[in-house]
Amino acid sequence: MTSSNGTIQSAALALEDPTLGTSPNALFSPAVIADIQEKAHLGRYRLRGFGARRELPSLDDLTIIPAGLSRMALEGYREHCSATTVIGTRAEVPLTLDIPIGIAGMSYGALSATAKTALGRGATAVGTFTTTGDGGMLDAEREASKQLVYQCLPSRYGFTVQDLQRADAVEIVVGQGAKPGTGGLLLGAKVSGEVAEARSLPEGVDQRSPVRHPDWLGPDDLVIKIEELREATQGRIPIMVKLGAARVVDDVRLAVKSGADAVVLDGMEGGTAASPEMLMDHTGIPTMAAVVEARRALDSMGEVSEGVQLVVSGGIRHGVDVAKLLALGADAVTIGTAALIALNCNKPVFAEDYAALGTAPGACHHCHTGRCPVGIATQEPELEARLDLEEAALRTKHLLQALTMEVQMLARACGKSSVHHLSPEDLRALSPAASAMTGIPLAGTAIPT
Amino acid sequence: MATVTEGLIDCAELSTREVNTLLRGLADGDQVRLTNLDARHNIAVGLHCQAQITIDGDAGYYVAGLCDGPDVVVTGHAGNGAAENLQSGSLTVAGDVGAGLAATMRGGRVVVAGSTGARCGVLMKGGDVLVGGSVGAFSAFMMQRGRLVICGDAGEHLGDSLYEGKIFVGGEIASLGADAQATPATAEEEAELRAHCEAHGVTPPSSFTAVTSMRTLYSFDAGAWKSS
Repeated sequence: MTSSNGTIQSAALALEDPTLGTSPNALFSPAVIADIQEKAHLGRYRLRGFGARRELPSLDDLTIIPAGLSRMALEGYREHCSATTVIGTRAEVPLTLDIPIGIAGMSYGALSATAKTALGRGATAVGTFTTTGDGGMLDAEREASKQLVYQCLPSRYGFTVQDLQRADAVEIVVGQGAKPGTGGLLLGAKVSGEVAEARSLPEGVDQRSPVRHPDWLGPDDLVIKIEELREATQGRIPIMVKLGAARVVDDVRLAVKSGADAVVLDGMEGGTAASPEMLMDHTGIPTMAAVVEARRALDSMGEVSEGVQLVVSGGIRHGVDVAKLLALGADAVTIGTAALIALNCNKPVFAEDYAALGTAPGACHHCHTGRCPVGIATQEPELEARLDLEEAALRTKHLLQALTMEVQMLARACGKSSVHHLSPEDLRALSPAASAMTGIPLAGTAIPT
Repeated sequence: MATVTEGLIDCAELSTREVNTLLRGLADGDQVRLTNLDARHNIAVGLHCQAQITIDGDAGYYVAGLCDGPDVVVTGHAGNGAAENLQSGSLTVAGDVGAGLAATMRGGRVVVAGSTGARCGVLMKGGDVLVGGSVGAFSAFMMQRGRLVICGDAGEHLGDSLYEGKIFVGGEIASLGADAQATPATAEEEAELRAHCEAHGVTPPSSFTAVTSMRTLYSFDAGAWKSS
């Protein structure tokens, strides 16, 4: 130990601490080493689906503070608590929903036709909407969905005036939370003959969607683009703008200034069927922070943002997340990954097929491969057949129903007769980081007056 | 209430919505002329009828956008996004057009006597575009299907990442985009293109260069994508 030779000293330390020789390096952990070696093998960035995997500041760092003596709770199991939600109130026919939760945009191509149809049926059964994706509108999806939001993406794959005019709202997609600033990705295994034809692409091509819209570039042009869509739909339906949560304040203000009837904001926990891996974990900001910035941006605009609703998505798991987001300023939320999990994503069945992908139920993020063992993120007929449409639709309905009941339960406990009456005052932060991000007081710091 | 009088719509006192509502009421085969539009945006959008619509003077952004059927003529110039997502029918412009002409076009025909700005034919999915003059940078970016004929020059990055579409250029090409290749047009193509130009009142150049995809970007692991 007295030697000035570092090598000898380290060796001596290792002898004293029997775990040191096998302890992983904190910086170059086994996962980092495997990542470097995989990229050294591939010669490119890695790809996968599902969404961010790293731990992020989350809504779990907030808690809801129900009523006590200072305010009266509603009867949790039976008293009326409205969940009616209206999006696009400035349009002639807004989206009028029975619940504050919709289904987020996911493409036919990334998902099987059965999955898309099941989501539509499940959403319709509880009085809410579903959304198309980067692959156009399926007839079966339209028929299954009483209220269907039609995405207008940079690629315009499958985009037609006929589908536009049979939509219940339009969502101009500027970005998504999983990979803001980058276009979509659909690897060739999922570009089947039908998907290729719907997108006017060669079959089997690794399709990388553009990120910039082809016919408008900045917010000044977007004003005119939104008016074009209004002309084509005679001002009947809401025109929404979807943003990946990044430069939230400026982007929300510009979307509203451009004429959006609603802003859809997708936090960095948002899912995707395929993405360069590093984008999901290292770009954008968390949903909890994004909703607060967006609400402040809207409220700072005065009359300009009157009647503009805020729809938030990105990593929503349960009714508690929904309640917290409504309290932080969202008018509605959408779910994507959670809805797919309801369909059967990551369910412990067909374990051998998960193993063949090098994964296991509960940890699968291999949506990009097109070999989804449960028939959701695939175009393989034999895999898609594993997803029973009726049962999948019922599970979607049940999840949306359960989430709404959870929100209502929490709202009643706070003494609120509508889920939209939840407010920041109903929250406390459990960590300094969450408090700093949201402006919600840290629990235990309330000063008696 | 605004009406069409003897095939004429004087737009001076009408809102854009009122003009488009009148156009939406046209039947197949109807002919109408619009006057006093003063280059207004979003005229003749979202139409399905196979009517003939002539705009006297200039048109703004998105003229004949999101249409499936009508034949629209602009006697002056047109703004950005003209004929965007056109599915069938046509747009004919006597003058020049801004950026994004025929963006995401799916079918039908677009003829521009003059020149266009950047991103002409971006993400085209079908149809036929003929430009008598020149086009700006990034034209035919990610073009998927269809044909873009440019009698004049093409700006930088022509045909970047194009899929199955085909481009013909009569003049100089400033530069090709990633994965695009240029070859002389075949004699058969030259003859067909000359006839095509003359049929639409456009003077053909002495010869054409064909630009097509090398298809090296079709597969993620082909290797060549890394330089794009």
